[in-house]
Amino acid sequence: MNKIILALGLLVALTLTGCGDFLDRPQKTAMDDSNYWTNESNVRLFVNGGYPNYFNGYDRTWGTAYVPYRGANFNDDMTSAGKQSSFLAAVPADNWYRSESATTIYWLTQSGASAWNFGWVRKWNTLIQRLATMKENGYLSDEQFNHWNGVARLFRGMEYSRLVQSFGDVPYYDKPVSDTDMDEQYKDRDPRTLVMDKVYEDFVYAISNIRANDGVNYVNKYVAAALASRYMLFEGTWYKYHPGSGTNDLAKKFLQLVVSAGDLVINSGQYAFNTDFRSLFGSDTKQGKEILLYREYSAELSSTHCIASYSNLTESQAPAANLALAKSFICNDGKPWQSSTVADADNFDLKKMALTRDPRFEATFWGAPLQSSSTLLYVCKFIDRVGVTYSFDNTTASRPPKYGSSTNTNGYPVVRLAEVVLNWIEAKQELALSYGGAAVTQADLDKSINAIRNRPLDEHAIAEGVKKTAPLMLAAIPDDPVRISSAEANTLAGVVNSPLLWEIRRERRMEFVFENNRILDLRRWGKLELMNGASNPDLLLGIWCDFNTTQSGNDINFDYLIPGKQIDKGDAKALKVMKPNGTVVAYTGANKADMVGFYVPQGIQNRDAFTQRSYLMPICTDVIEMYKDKGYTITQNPGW
Amino acid sequence: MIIIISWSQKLQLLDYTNPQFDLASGTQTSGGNSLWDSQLGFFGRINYNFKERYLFEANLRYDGTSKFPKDLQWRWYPSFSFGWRVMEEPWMAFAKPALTSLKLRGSWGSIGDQSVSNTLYVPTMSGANSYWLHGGARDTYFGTPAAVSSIITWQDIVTLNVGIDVSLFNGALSASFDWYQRDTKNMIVPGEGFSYTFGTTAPQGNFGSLRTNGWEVSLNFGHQFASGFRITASAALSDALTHITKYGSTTSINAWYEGKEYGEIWGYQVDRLYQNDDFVYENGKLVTMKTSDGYTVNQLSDPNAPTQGKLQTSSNFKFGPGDVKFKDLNGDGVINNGSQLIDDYGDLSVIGNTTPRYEYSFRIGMEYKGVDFSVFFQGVGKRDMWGASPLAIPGFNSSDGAMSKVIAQDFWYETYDASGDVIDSNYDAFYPRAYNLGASSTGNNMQVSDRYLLNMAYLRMKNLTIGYTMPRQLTRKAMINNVRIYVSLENFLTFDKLRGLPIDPEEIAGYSLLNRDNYNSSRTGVGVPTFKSASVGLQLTF
Repeated sequence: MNKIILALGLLVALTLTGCGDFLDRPQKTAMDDSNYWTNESNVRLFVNGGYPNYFNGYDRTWGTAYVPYRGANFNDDMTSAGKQSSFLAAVPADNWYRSESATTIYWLTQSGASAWNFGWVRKWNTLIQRLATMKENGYLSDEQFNHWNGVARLFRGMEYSRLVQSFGDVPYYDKPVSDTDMDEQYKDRDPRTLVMDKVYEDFVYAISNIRANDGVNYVNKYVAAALASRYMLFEGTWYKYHPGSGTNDLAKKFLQLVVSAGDLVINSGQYAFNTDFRSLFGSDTKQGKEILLYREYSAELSSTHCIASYSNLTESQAPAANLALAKSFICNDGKPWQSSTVADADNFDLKKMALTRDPRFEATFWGAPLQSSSTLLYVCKFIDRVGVTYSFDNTTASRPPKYGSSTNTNGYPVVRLAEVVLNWIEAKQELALSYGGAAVTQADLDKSINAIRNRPLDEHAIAEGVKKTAPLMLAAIPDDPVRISSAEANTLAGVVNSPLLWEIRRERRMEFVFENNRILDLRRWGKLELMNGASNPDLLLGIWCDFNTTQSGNDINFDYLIPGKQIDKGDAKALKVMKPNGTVVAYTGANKADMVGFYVPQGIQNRDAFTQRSYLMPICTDVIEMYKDKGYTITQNPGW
Repeated sequence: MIIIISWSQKLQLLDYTNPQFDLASGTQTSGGNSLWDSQLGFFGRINYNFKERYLFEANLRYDGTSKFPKDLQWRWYPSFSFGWRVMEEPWMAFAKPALTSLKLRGSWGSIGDQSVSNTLYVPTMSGANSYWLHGGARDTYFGTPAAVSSIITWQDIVTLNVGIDVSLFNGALSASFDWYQRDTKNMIVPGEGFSYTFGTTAPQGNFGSLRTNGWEVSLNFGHQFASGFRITASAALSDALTHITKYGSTTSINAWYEGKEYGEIWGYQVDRLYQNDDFVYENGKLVTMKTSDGYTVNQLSDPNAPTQGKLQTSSNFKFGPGDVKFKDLNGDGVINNGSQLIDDYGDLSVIGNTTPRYEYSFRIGMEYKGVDFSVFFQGVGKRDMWGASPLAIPGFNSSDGAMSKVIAQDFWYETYDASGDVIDSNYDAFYPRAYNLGASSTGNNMQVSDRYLLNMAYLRMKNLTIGYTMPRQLTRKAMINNVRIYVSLENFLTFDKLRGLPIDPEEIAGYSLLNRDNYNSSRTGVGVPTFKSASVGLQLTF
């Protein structure tokens, strides 16, 4: 009996000692926090996860976050048939996200910026914390640490800028939020001035510490400066046009950073306007010296997008460019159409406008009214000159995949010099106007607006007869009557008093058609009310059209009047035009000769009324109720 | 246990009917993964039996697993059970033979559960390829370390059980009754109450526990009469209910608050449908007004009636004639869901529970002179569900095209002629005015409410078998031992309370052999239904 017990005991003891290793099963195919942070290339791989989020370009396949046209379709440049899409009517249940995967991007179309998502904030705070430990343990040299810490702080600054752009005040964290400190997790929103001041410090550090060159299409000092100028301009001008939201000192500080960052990029000598406008967007590879950061695509690697197909003349544009946008283009003598000396400047026929307006008009819009656009004005900016030749009836070649569906491969200039110089000159002018800065000089205009106007023309434009726009001269700044129109007066910020500032803003509008800048510009300038068709009637109109002639432009036959189809029966299908004096003429079946005028999109209706509260996104009810559940409060944005 | 996964892929096949790596010209990619974990356990048992009267058993387990941090890998799990066969007691002899056997039993035991992933306490960072290109190749990137708890350990399941088995009349009638209470402790659940500012989903930890109370009773009867007629019958009834006993400090009714009954459904109570004279008209059109809580609604003719502005979830919908009128339970004049907290839930109340309750079954079998007959019924006494599909929700998604006939034939409507007079209507309908919810199961009229809650209680005849065995003498002559022909019907009769909706009351949304939790987007009633089948058979035994 004893022997049996002894034997059993020994057996148990033997097996138990072997146990410790038997139950040791560390991860075979994944790194973890304890063994990852050992060298610089691992840091680079961690940072790579941020590129799709911040430099999304045309996104991938059918994605829309921050994407031209498909994402950025809520502004005063675009109009649909029927009723215009409205601003948020009520506080939504959820506009929050907890992004786990590093490539999941969540944003809000109406704000043009981030949803309530702190996943990226956590990522960059974690990186900053790990970098500090790596430096202490000697895994990184000083130079490497400075660079990557700069990159991490740049991305953290960008993420907070996006959150502030959407919501205004947001809770600020400079290290990863602890899982045991509930007070910290549920703290109320910090004022935007505090948050953006921290972002300012992050940007200043980033600009001075990031390497000048980290490889092709990697973040470098100039990219950092360009991005900093974008977000600091937003915040600085926000304080000016939304009184009470910030202080003059901060506005001045932010705008001065925009200027110094712009100076860094402009004076580097590495960037210049040496390619034509259209090939910036339609090419497969980076063109020329204007682009600081470029997103490439490749069909073999399954990285393709769909935006070029929305410029291929066949794919319908349902929010489409409206008359307000078309009229805002300056004539190529540098004057608005009302006072221009160019022949046919007041003729709104698209073929004439291509010849009389800034070359970007011809590069952005198709030269004839197209049925595939709900306003008949079609934007073909995001495709090359060849891609638009497959939509005519007289071609037998079928459309290659790179111009259709979601298999497009042209790249997007995520950061380009035009944005930097336009940010720079606007900040300079705002400083001069309101913050005691030096007045803008002709040399400043020559480095910015006039340098853009001096972009080379491509052969197609030259063959059409398009001319470059005359440079803007300080002594002869045009006075646009639209600047003091009632539409402009009816906005939060009111009339823009400086004609030079007006021209700078016009230059932005012409440069960034259908890109994400417009909605952000409207918000920061206090001009959201321009999206109200009642006070801004050109919003609800399409392009000039003569429905009698079969207009042909580049081999497209335009014959819109289908017998019996568009007769006015009081419903939405009626064909209507508006005469220059404002009268609307509907097609009765017998007045074909009278159907010449600005096209009225079918069944058009203004959007629902909106108030000043729409300048900021509301905190969703899920978040408010969660705070309440735990006994904390979070303040909602005013008016919601 | 070791799992090794590896895969290779090459694009652009030259011949789609013959896929080979050497017959493809595109990019070749490959990947793989390897997972391993291990468990080790020891157990011992003692069994004691005293005169077949007192039975006692004790077990002890010592289990370890690789899935938890080193100092929390091993746990002890004891269990005990005892039984008392009362009829073996000498002083119970008086009751025989009417009371043939009586056994009282009870047990208490605990076991551990470690059926979770291997990485719960390790802050892994996994690599992947993004679609951002540098230098003509896809970027590799690593994600942020997951948030983990460093003190995670086994989940414990503790069960307490008492029961009685009775047998009467020499086994002709027997019954047994069980009562049990099962506690699941240290449940590994996501930590609750983590704010969205945390930036990622909360780490999982041993935060939860719940308790299930249940009982079962079963009866069996069998008797053979002198004439050879044999009858057997059995019935069973059981019920169980689960409560959350610990989860965190949340008080939200949509989360696991302490004391929540598992599966409870919160919803509104319906008063009736609005009719034409509930509203105010001006020149034949409804008049709108703004309510005290800031919504624009159609004005009601009764100024004291509650308004329902918050429930108008679509921008072009306002409650009007034909829409659902809800009850204002808290008397504040507006219908809403408060803050959805246990101490502020507006006009909501618990209207049902998705747990099947009072499950029962019974079987009767008879045999006489070679003919055998048996029938088996099974049913559920109470189960509720808020459906989410065109079969259950009117107007779920009108672009789907199809809709339940029961809904299409019974909804509120008015049709007018050219001069505006009503020529046809259905004011007493069960379903409200038609509205397209756009593939949503809640919204506008279709708030979770008691009127449209699906009552999934049912009784189903699962099996009916009639057979005839030919007399042995006849078949033996043909060297066959046994010949029986039979007819068997399965699932032929179902009694349910679904008012004719084409939904199988036994179905679980989203469940099928192919996909356990999201089959057909978990739409109610569109999973694989139980089949009715009839079969005829011939059994030969040699």
